[in-house]
Amino acid sequence: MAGYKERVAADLDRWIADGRVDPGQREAILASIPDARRLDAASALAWIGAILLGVALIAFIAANWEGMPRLARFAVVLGVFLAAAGAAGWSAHKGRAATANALLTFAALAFAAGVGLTGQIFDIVGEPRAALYGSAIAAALLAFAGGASGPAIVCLVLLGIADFLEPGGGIDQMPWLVIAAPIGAFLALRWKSAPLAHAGALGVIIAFIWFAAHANNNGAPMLLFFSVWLAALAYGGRVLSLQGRDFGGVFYGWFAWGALALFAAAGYAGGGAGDLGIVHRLAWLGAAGGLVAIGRHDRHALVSAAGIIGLIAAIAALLTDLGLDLIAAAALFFLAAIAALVVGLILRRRAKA
Amino acid sequence: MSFLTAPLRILAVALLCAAALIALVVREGAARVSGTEIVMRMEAVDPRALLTGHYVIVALQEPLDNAPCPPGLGENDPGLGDNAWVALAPHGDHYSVAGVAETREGASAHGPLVARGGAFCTPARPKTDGDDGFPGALRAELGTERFHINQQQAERIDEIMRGREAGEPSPVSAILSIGQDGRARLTGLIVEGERVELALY
Repeated sequence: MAGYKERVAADLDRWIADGRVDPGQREAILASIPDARRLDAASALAWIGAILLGVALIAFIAANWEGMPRLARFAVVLGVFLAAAGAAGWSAHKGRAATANALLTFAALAFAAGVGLTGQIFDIVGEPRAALYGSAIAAALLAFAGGASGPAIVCLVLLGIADFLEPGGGIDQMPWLVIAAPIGAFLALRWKSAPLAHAGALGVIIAFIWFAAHANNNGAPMLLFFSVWLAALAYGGRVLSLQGRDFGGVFYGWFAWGALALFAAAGYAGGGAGDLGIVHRLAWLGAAGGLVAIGRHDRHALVSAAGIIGLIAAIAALLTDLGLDLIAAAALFFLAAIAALVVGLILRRRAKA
Repeated sequence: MSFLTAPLRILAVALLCAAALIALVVREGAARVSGTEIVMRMEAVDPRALLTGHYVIVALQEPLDNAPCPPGLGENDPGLGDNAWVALAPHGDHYSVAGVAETREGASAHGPLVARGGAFCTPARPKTDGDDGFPGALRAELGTERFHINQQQAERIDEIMRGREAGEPSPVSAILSIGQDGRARLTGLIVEGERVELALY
């Protein structure tokens, strides 16, 4: 696949042939575009060698794990974590932010694995949730210490798993993601990290799902309530996106997905508003159609995709509700099509005005 | 955290995390040593080699020998699950479940030692014409489900358990330490009279 510079060179040649660009500017324009970073053969071999050395070390330790005294095993666990964190500190000192981030992510994962291994090595009885929360706190501390997004994502993932580990817990046991996910989203903006923005947005949705799942008999009203909340957050993300703010589009896309998914689920959940029937399916169809329209308007692939998937799912749900009554299905879809056409016409007239 | 540079902050956090892990091991070790040691009968020993290595499943279970279920575990008692307090009392050469209660004080009325967890009782069924009967079974869940052990020992225990005749008492018992905090910690196993304990070196 041609790189950016090659694509610009091809375009330049075309524009020069069309007489749109002065041929004398070609080299100057291309010189202003930095060459893509390429890994030379020596560096590639060094990376392969380092990876193979790591694999050999892991295999050697695994082969001798059972024969090692418990304290030696514990020393290996601590050593791997401290080595990763130490290397991350050294990388940060040398100004290699990406390497430091990757090593801190590895250190956060190594610590989480280390907690589990320590429990195994010394037969320590403990709550899996406490181990996950403890590992998440360590990951958060590493993230703040290094200003690194990787361990922050590890923290959110660990919290998400821990929050859902207690199926019998009541709604009074607040999920940690409720606090951590918005902080993650805030840090994504501050550290300009797209992966953390995705993780933060998903964390907010998962926290809402947690509340709905723990609402006992009030699942449907809760899902509807959170669907409205997510729609409002999606609107906020859209505003940020239209203002050209970083990651506004990420929040807009995920919250739109979440709002539609929770609205769809509300129609099937228990509680006072449970199984709302045809009215719910039609509203679902309308919301999905609306997302397709707004996603196309904003040229936002994630929102458009949410709308298209939502449309397919809503149609399938309607057909399931109506059984094999194809006449009734045809009438409903005809009405929905008329409504879509009318709304489209109104929007076009407004745009022209 | 502007008072430290990023490398120093990373180093400080890493050392803090390592110290926390070491403190956990030291604290658990001290609690295990200072707790009251008891021996409980166990069943269904099985060596595994899953992701967590070889371990023995410790099912603290013993037959009721047609005795009634202990207090709190009768058919008419509300099930307290595994988040209750279990009373333990000496029964011959080992300790058995003596009752279950919602609170520590309630459980203390049934036995000299109490531990956090749960117990479950399957009542005895008398022998009838069409039924061989069942002597009943008592099972404790004290959060000590696994004992990690090397492959050789795990397979040896498995072999011993498989060679046992039906109705024979279990040749393997669990050694537990009941701490002041009410937590049961596994110290080791007694396999055909030989102690297999957690060794650090």
